[in-house]
Amino acid sequence: MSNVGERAEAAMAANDAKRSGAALLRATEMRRTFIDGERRLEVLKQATLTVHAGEVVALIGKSGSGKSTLLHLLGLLDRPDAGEVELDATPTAKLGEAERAALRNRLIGFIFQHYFLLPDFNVLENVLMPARLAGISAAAARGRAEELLEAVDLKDRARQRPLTLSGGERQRVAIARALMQRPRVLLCDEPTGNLDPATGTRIMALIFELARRDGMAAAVVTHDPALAEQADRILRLESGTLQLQAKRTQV
Amino acid sequence: MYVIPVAFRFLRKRPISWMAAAITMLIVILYLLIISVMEGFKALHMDSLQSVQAHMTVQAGSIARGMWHPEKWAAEVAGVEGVKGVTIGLEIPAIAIFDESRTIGALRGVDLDRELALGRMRELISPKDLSEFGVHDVGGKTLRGCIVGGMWKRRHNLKTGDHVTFLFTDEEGDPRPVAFRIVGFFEGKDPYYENAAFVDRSFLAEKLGIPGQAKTLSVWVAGDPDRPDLDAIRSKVKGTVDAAMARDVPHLKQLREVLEVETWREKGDNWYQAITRENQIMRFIMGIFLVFVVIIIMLILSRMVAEKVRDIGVLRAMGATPRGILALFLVQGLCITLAGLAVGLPLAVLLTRNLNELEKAFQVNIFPKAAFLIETIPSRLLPQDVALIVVLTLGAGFLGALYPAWKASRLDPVECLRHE
Repeated sequence: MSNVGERAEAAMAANDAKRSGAALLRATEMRRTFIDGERRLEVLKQATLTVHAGEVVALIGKSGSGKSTLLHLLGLLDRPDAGEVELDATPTAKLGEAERAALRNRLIGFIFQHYFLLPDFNVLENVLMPARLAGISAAAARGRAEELLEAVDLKDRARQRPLTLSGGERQRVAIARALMQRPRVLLCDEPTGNLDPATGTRIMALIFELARRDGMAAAVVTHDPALAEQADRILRLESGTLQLQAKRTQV
Repeated sequence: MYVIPVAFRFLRKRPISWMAAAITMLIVILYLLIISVMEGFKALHMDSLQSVQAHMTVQAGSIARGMWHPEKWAAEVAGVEGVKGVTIGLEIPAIAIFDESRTIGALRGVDLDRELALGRMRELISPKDLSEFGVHDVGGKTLRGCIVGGMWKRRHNLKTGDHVTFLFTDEEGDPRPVAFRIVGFFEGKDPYYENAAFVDRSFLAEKLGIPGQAKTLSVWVAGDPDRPDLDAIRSKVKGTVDAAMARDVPHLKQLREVLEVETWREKGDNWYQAITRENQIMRFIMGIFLVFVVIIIMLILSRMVAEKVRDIGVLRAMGATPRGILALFLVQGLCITLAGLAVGLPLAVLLTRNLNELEKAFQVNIFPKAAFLIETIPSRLLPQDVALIVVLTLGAGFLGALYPAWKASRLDPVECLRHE
């Protein structure tokens, strides 16, 4: 990342912290290299990122630039070769798998391009799943799940299987599921990638609305410049580093 | 909390899981059916090995005057730990002469009251009223009663009230014919023991010219005759009798060598060994079938893991741990075997209790009655066999699931989410 970018990022972060609260998601100088046979592929070199409560950051870049890899690192699904991820001021580098899983369950909501709903369970059961993984009974969590389905306008589809829903409906279920545990961080990997533009716009609007309303720190990977412009900040991933793009300026 | 419902849901819609449960059920049923019939035959054979015999006999090879102090020795042997009681017996070979036929067998002198109290005679004789075993008058002639074996009854068409004369040699070697009246029959459960008759011991000893003497002490142990310390009791009885002989008839030291103490197992040693070994081998063979359960479950769950790679990634993203994923697939293996047990166990119990009815219904003759000397197919379902098959089946489910579950827990969540 360039010095200008670093200074700008730091300044914005300070201002944002004053405006919106503490930094909920912080990644510092992350490096990630993949080895494929004899080939070494350094996907991330010195990726640094801070996202505050109530802030939505868009991550853009060419295909293969490492956006999904970055998201996986931020979501504790993968470990960086160097660097650190902090979630809600909790350093994660030295945590074991069980602790990382507990943090993922409690603090992070994921929304994927292909929805990734569990086909053996109906809509309500899919939304309940994060709570069940946390050891909360279905009865105890049902109220919250129904409230979320109502928020995404799918309460009447609670008993249906995902296969019977449209793409947009499935993504709304995925959004409800991601918010089940009241996460502090929302990570979205091309959430509109499989949707038509109109539906995609509505889905992104929903994500932004819910993230800002609940004070989450949201990072959204997208190829769509129009959607990226709706974010508070736009960061471009290029050559393994994050370059700050000012909001609503150049993409 | 999520593992069991998620595991069950993963299995529910997969017909191959139900097939695996059905195969498990069949193996459980087969195992218990076959083992219960083997145990039934074992019990039957052991029953016939024991028959009307005592659990242990102390026997002299020959009769010598003054050799035996049966009442005194019987009392001493009765005091040995593990011994319930002792009866005194006298057995000789004899020719049995019926009204229209004759045969060779054994004539056994017993103290009937004691025999009825200690042994199984009461269970095996008919009619149950043996008041005519003692002396009674028939047409002015005093005749003793005798109880004849079932084999003689059937072969010579005998009934109570018939006369039989036994021809034997006395102590002096002279032939003695003695007439008896048949007052009852016994089913010895073994043809060998049914080629015989029971008569009053004192009367027989008098006719033999050895009043008050005997040839055998019949020893009855407490509890299960197949008790594990039977051989230890045997040793103690031998020691007691040897000591008694040395004390009471020291001049007959050389005869001590012909004293035999033999348990019912030793008398039917080949049978007993064969039956016991047969049962062990059959259990082992049936246990091998459970290896099929292990293999089937391993194949099914390996396929399930391959199908569920994406779902595993999603669950990990939502906070499932590797251990949770491991448990998820282990539980699936156990669910399959539990389903097989849940149906297989009650069906096995039902089938073992109705084998004979099933044989009739399907008009098959699995065990020809004449060849196997049975009236009905014996079966004996032991609680320990049921417990064993439950443990083995669940163990098979666990083992079969272990490798696929471990593989699933080791999957990289990022790779899972990228899985096509």
